Amino acid sequence: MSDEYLIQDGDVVRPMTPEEVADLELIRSTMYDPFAE
Amino acid sequence: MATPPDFVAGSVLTAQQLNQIALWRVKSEAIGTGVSSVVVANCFTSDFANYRIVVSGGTITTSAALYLQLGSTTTGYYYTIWGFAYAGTQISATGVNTTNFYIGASVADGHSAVVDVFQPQLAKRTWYAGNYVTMLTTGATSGTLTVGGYVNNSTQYTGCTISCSSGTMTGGTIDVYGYNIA
Repeated sequence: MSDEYLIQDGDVVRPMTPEEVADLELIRSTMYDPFAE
Repeated sequence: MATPPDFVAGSVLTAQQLNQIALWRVKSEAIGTGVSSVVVANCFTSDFANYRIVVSGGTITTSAALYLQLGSTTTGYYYTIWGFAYAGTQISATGVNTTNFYIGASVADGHSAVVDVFQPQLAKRTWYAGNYVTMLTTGATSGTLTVGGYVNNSTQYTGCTISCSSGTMTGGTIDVYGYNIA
């Protein structure tokens, strides 16, 4: 588990698993972000 | 029969009247505190072919884009973004075989995304179209924009995940409505 990111799954908010963190970081590194410019 | 809503106190609704209700809210997720992603499970069913997803209210720690992932798929998404900044300049961007759909933005005063998602639960490509507003007076990319695209597979999805590009979200709701076209 990671305490860096929280994910909400239904009514439960929990730390992301390493796999979920990897997915989120992949998304953030590949998607357009107008606020990062 | 008059076009609903023509109800009065004590009305007994007929099946015909109920079947004319065009949008059913099938899921409403209240966003918790300090989250980067929200899983919206079991929102796509065989009951409806097409859906509207509205992300609104709440706040975020830093201005960010909002993304939508179907199921666990992180490849094959194609999208375009087009619109105008309040300053009058054109804004455009594309995503080619990328990891999510781009659906909107979130700023201190709230989340903004309204997208229609078509046939996610069918064994066909899923496509989407929508709009969002950036509630900031400054910034070259602050404005009103149209988004749309598709995911290049025939996976049948039952849920989705909303994520932000940076910061964490607190409050607001993710509402999913099914279009009644029967």
